[in-house]
Amino acid sequence: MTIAPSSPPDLQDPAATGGATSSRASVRAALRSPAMITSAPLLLVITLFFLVPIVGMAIVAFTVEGPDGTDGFGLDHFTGLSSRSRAIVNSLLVSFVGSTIAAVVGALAAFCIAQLRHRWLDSVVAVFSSVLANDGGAPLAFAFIVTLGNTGFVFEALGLGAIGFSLYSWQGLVVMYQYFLIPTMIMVTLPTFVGLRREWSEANTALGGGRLTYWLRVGLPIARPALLSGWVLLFGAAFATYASAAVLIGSGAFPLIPLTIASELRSGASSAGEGAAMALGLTMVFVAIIVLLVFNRLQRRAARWIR
Amino acid sequence: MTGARRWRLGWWLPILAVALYVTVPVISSIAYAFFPGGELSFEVLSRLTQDPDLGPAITRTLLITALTIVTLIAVLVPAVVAVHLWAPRLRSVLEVLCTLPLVVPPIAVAAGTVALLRWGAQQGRGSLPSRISQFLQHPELPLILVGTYVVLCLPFTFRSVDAGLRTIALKELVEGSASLGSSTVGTIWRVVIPCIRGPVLFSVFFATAVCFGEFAIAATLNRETVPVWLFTVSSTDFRASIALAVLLNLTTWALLLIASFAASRYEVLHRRTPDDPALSASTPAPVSAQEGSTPR
Amino acid sequence: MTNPPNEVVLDHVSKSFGTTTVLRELDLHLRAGELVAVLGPSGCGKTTALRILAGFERPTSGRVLVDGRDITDLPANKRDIGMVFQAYSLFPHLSVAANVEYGLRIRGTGAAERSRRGQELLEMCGLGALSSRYPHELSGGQQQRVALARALAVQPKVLLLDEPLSALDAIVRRQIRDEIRRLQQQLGITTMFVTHDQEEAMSIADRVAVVNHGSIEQIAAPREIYHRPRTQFVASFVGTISEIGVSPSCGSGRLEVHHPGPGRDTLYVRPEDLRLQPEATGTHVVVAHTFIGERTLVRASGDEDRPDIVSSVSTAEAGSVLVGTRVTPYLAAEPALRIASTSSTPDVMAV
Repeated sequence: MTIAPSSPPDLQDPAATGGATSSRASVRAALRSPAMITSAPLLLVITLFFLVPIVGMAIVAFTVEGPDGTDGFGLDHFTGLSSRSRAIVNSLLVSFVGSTIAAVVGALAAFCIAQLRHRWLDSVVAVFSSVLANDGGAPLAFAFIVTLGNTGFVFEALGLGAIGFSLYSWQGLVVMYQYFLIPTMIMVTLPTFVGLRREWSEANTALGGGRLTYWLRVGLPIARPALLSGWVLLFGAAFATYASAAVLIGSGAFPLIPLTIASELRSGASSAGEGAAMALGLTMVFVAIIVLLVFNRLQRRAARWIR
Repeated sequence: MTGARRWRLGWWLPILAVALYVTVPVISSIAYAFFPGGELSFEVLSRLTQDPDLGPAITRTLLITALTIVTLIAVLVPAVVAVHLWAPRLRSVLEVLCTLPLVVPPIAVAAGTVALLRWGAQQGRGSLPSRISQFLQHPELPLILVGTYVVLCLPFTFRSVDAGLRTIALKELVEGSASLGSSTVGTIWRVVIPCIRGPVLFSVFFATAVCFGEFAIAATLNRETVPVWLFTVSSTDFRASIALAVLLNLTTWALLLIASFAASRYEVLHRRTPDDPALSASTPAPVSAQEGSTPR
Repeated sequence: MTNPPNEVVLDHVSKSFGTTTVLRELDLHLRAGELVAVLGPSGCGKTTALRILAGFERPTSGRVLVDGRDITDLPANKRDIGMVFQAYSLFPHLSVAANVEYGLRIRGTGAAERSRRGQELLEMCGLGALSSRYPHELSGGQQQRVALARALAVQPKVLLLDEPLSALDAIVRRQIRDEIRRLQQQLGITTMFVTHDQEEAMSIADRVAVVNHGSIEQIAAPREIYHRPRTQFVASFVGTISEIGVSPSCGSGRLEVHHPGPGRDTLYVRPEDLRLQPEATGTHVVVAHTFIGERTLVRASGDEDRPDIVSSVSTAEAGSVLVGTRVTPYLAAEPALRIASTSSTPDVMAV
């Protein structure tokens, strides 16, 4: 899914020089190479604290207790997820609506920022969008509770109660998620809008096209992979959000996948609950990997067009 | 030219709308926490300082942060420098491994970690897995959080260090310096480290921001860091929790801002075209890190 | 498929950006069907002139006329102008064929006619086999060919080329240059070719307009620009030339070479107009040979009071003036330009 940059073949890299016949020897040599030794601590940390937990999660998720009391492989935890379909549907709904709105608003904002071509605005936006895109923790939820909660400042000022808005519902989650989703979208799409070449717009003009023609036939089609990849990334980010949702919703009222995982884990070591939590967790990992693959594919196309 | 000017105003409107949306919750929180009844008051802060649990939570968080930073820099920087120098193919493997935590939800990592720790604990009292499990989860210093936070930091910090090394011709520098009679270690110390000061600074601040803000894993493992304590206290003293949330949020933002500037400031030194009108020149590392989940 | 060629006039065109004046009362007249190369150093305003003609910039004052019609106020997309940019102007998301047909699509040409015209142009530009490729799959030279085909597909009244070869490497550059010239002559289209490369300008154009500081110093056929430059700038910008100061009485024959200065005439002498006679008492010493095929350029250096000079000798005879030989310069023909001593002192040493 990732290609190495166009670095020249490295003569000191044994793996590069070794032919197919000596591949085993070259692997052994590579393992003893200074690069491997120096990278070992990093690889160890990643393995222990990331790969092993995920593999462990997969093992628990696929382990079922057979009728004779011994453990075996089975999909029971996954088929059992149908009882938690509300959480899955809610997660999909909130992520879809939230990411769609943020994609539209964020793209529009990025488009406008690119049109203005203001140097300092570009830097300010770059810094702030990257800061805000990393937001989404517990403090964010508290900020929204005092802003849009049932006694929140803005809630009361705009009389949002009258139109039936509630922060503690899927609408509230969608509104709150915008806080980090919109900056993420700006961050991902701004380089594309800035990268649209003046030559393209001028070539369109010289060939007889107006502004509208340019955007419909050139600008938006070129930006499309970046826009789609941004949207996919937002979906993934919304889908994975836990902290702010946990503070806002807690457990129960409006189940989401991450909230369900947390409450199942908390409910103790009852193996049924744990198995379900692991199955849900594995589902999230699966969704995340799909998101990454699609994102990478689209971004690669965008990168080929915008250089 | 009034037409053109009106157009420019039109471009500003969506930007201002987003800016407003971003600032209002912050202002509301500040107003709620520090202007109860319309008067400026820092009474909440004294309530906060009197809480017997906050002090230990802060100490714990700071300790975890310090250990995370040290571990992160100690394992990441040598690895990235080494693969740049000697094994470009291993670099792409590292890239994938370090990017994965970006997309795998923290709650999933938490679930996996819980599964593992419980498995260890079930191996019988006094057995080695059980002892390791207990050691890692120690309530006063849960080392498991340090390891997990290092992993959470990797996607962005790897990108930053990697990009920093890519702007300098590392191989040529080391070879050139060797031809002038300097040892590899000496070269790395004198030439390479100064070149990645920006990315390393970025990593430090970014890691701090992550450790101050992380909630999912700490809460799942039931270890009381500041964000977790914040959640606990909100049920008894809401105003105090808002005050702390504001402070925590502003601290995190400040850290991330410093991180961005640290990254972009040093980037300026290595910029090739000083007058590049494109955004790239002024883009701080987090952006390139984000794009980084994309191959180029 | 050719339009009748059109005459193009930039009439007293000035352009300022804020306080910087880029063009000063520039007059440029392109005769119908001719290729004029606009040549000048970077920042001289040549690209601005082209962009004003294309309609991308509005002149601060002055008029733009095509075939006698004033198009100064006509928007760029109504001007029927074909434009080729320096590089990367192809639409990256469209195939080669779709790029070439883009202008026809905008004009609402039917699909059959569109693809017929597109194919015809691709064949003409030697790109027949590439029509389904995408721009990023093409080499730089192929991209510029496609850009040319795209510009020509709409049968523009005028073709504008903005440094179209500067991003290419030397061999391809020459190929595409010849191709542009061939197509331009075949279609008889009035063409403005902006470049900073004098060799390119001299080899492709019917006439060359040398621009400096926002106005035209001289516009003439390449041969005349080379042999009869009208100003010091033209003389020293185009080709190799020796700039030497002589006493006002000095005519042809033996040269007493000095630095240009007050009380002296300044001569601009092409290498082929300068002969170096080996003489033990000569004022100059040969310091370098540059082999350029049949001819060899010989550089000779004088003492502190005398500037370097460059002469061209047939390679067969270069042996008589080997490096280290002491020589005396002779003027073999009229100098390209003579500036009498009353003129202001040139302050740059250009050789």
